Formats: sequence, structure tokens, C-alpha cells
Amino acid sequence: MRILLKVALVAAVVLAAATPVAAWVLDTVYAREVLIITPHDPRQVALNRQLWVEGDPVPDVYGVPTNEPVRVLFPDPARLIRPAEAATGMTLLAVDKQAGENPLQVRSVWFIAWRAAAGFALGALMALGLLVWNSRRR
Amino acid sequence: MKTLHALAITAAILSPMTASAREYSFDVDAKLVVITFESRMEVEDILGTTHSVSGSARLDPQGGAFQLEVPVDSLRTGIEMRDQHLKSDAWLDASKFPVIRFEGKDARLEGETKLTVSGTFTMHGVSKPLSLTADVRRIPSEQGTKMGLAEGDWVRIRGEFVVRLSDFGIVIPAMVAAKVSDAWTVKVSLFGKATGK
Repeated sequence: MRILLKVALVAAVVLAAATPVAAWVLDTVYAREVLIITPHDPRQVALNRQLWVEGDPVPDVYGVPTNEPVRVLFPDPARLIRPAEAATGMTLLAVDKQAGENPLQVRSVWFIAWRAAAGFALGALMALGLLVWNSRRR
Repeated sequence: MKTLHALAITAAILSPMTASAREYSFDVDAKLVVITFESRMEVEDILGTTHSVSGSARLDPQGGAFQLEVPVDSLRTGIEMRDQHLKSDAWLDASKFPVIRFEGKDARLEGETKLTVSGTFTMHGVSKPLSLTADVRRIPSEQGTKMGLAEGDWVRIRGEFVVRLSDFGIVIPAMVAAKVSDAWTVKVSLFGKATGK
């Protein structure tokens, strides 16, 4: 019983520490900040380019943009657009919801990671408590 | 002869006004119309779209009209199960209220590119007043056909507004309260083709 509790305690502590680290690695190495757009038909893009004048929003040329940029994991490089009209390094990600596309957002990963870490930490505390209780009983 | 002369002068004075009043249909090419809806919360941004948009706009500096209609069944968020929930009776209840509608009775064209519309937005069986400002660009036939659009004059209309689910009798279940916002940004991007002359 003591061995089992010790194994559970070590595993829970390791997982509690490793989960946010894994999320951090995913965020740092594999994520990219993009502005998601619902892509326009190529004819629309061509026309929008013609109608575009300095001061007009750039993302709208290529699609309907979301309100804020978002960090997404493993974005498909073929779906990334770097608009020539943008002075700064803007990156758009074309996402076709009608085709069932739903890129994984880093916010979701962190949300799950923190809650999982809290769960493992709670598990570690319970294992520790049981170990102490077990040793006192002897 | 005098009457004819007076009529010709009146027609000449009125012609710029009548020339700029046109009616456009959004039912021509589904690939050219899209409506998106977006919720931003701590867990994730939820984005949904539809290309099943029907309606029309009468653009007239003297006062026009603007109608849009979207079938609830056509809304997609990228996850099949979420789409099913969205249509269920806990959310938009597509079987009872199959259509989301905006009826803009007062559409005013200000200058060449600004359209302000006041009207009624109906969703989930509840109607509320709604106003939106849109960017309007007219596309002459030559320019449109060059880019692969069907022959005829076109107009591009872009606008956005915010809808609160609670205003329309939709209560977000506690289980997903951290994931779904009450306030949704709705963006319309429409290419309409001129009807008639």
C-alpha cells in the first residue's frame, strides 16, 4: 500500500509540474499568432484588391477577419497569408468552417493544462495525506 | 412643346438621383456572400459561418431597404457536435425557428460608401430593433466581369453588429458558460447583383 501511494505521489507531482511545461513548449515552439479569416472566393479577393485604398482594413481583402489575433497550434502553412498590402508582418490564417476546420487555440491548451495541473496537485496532496495517515496508524 | 421642354428639364435634374437608386440581390452566387458570428471567451474563440444568405438591398439616398435571411441549419462552427447543439432546442431551436432574419426598413446611403440601416432582427422567435453601419462599394459591370463575376452592376456591402443571446431568450447552460459568450459579433460580407435597370 505504501509503495503504491509513493508511486502515486511521485507520478502526481511529476504530472502537475510537467503539464504546464508541456503547454509552454507547445505554445513557444509550435504555436503562431494569426488573425483567422473566413476566406473569400478568389474572384472577390481580386476585386477587393482593386477596390482597396490606403487606410482600408487589409484582412478584409482576403476574407472576413475575427476581431482579435489568436495563437493557434500547428497552423497549416498552406493556409497562411501574408498580405502584401500590410506594412507590418501581419499573418492571416484561412479557416473554412463550412469544411469543418477548427484549429486548436493555445488558450484552450493553457486552460486545460492549468486545470489538469491543479488536478494532479490535488492528487499529490491526497496521496501525501494518505501516506502520513498510513505511517501514523502503524 | 413647352410641357415637353419642362419635362425634359425635370428629368435631367432628377436623373442623378434616380441613377444612384438601385436594387441589389444577394441570392446570385453563394460563394460571394458570407456571414460570420464570433464569441470570445477565456477558453477559446468560437467562430461560425454561413454562405446560405438570401436577401436584397435597395440603395437610395432618399431612403432604401435592406433584408437578409439565414437558415439556422446552415450555420457551421467547425465542429459537428457543436453545430448540432447550436441547432438544438437548448440554443437556436432550428426546428421551431428555422430562420434568422434582419429586416432593415430604413436604409440610408450617406455619401457614396456609407450605409446606415435601422430595422428589426429576429432570432429564436424574438424580434428586437437593430442598427448597423455598413461600407458600400459599387462595382460597375466592366470591373466585375473582368474579375469573373456575372455580367451586370454589383455592390459590395460589409458591416457588423453585436447580438446578445440573452436578449433573444437564449440561456447559456452553466456547463459551457466559460466557453460561450453572451455577446456575439456578427459580420456580413455581401456581393449583390443589380436587379433590373
